[in-house]
Amino acid sequence: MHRCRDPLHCLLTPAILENIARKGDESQRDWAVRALNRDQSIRMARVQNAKVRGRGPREGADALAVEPTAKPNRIIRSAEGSESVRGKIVRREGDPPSGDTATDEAYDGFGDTFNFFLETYGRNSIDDEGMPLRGVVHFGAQYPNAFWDGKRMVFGDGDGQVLGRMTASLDVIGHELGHGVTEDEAALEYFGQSGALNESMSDVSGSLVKQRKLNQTSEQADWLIGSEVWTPDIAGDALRSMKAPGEAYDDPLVGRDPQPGHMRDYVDTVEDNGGVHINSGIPNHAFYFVATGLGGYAWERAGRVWYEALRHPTLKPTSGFWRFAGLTRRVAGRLYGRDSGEVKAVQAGWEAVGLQLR
Amino acid sequence: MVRSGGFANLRVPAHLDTSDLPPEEAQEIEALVGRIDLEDLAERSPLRGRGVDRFQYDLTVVRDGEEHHVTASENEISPDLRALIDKVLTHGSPSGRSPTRPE
Repeated sequence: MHRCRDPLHCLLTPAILENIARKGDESQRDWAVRALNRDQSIRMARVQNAKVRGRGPREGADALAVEPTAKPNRIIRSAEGSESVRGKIVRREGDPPSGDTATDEAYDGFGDTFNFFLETYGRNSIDDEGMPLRGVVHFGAQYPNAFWDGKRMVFGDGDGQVLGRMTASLDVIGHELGHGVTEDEAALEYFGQSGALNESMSDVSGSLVKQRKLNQTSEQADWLIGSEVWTPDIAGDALRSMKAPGEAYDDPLVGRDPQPGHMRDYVDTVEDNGGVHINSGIPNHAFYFVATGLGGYAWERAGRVWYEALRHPTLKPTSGFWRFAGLTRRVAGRLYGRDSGEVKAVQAGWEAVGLQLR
Repeated sequence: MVRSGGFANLRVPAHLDTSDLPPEEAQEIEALVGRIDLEDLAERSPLRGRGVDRFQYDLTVVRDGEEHHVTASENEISPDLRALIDKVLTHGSPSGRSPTRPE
């Protein structure tokens, strides 16, 4: 959701520009894409401004300025075991710890995720406009799930037999908030390949939030999603593994991790919205290869490329793996140069999962 | 019935035959099924892309010898269908039998 940022955008909203970028003739498309890229560079300029201002007094008026001190606005409610998302507020921004584990985990996890997006990519909350971070904890009766409902992140306490408290893993929180970012930027349809891409964006988001919190390089990271969510009775490291899709768990009660890590094992199914949590293993694996191929902190280059590709105007709600892969290479070329090591690493990462970019 | 999806996407199959149940419980479930417009739900299935990280239910309901294939997302389920799903989850056995689906 964009607001008017400069005179050009007062006349032509990004939505209109995106439409031109998609449907106009060649010269119109080029112009619209340039204008949209300008919008992206404005965002980056805002980060730079925020950094500069942090170091010294601000000089003169700055048309690109946002509040240098963007802060999260967290509102946590408790459903108290019901399926209402309008339960009483148990912790607001600035309140001291409530003493309730799920409430405080959600509050802290929202803070970590907010700071990750702000400090790493200059993004001010889910919509980049400072949207309040609404959470609901203790949702449902032994509800073994967490979800994003378009407005808020909702967490169950788990059934206690297979899955425990969903707020226990920071990457689950980062995953749900990531759904909000993806919805705002690309609205990837939650079905089939675009849905698996949507899921993968959230896993990438969750994993990077965790890695940055722990100050881990791509080599040090475990690349696991939801490693704190299983109960001790279940034989598994986590719910998913970006490093080794299909190997996160193998247990007599819940079965085996069904994720493929390569296109040759792509799963066609009608369950799970066409396998959105299954085939997400493929782009997850590609991200892992790109990040470890580059080395260092995964959020700095691999994460930036993924984030800018998500925001690219030619990524459509129905886009699949191929289009996204192509965009990551294009974005890497723009950010680091066409013959850069980053472009090569991106290409190699996709190739390793069976998506050979020509 | 198969539950799939959700953050963890753990596949939960469940099978329930009312002829295996005590008459009272069977009647209760059959009455529940009678109140659900299966034809309408089947016509609107499969749902595509509803409910981020929500549970999806794929049901095959056999009523009076006729099979109905229904896909429903947790976030848009009528109270009767929800009650039926809860009955199947709590009283059913994990058959491993996947509901057959028309293409």
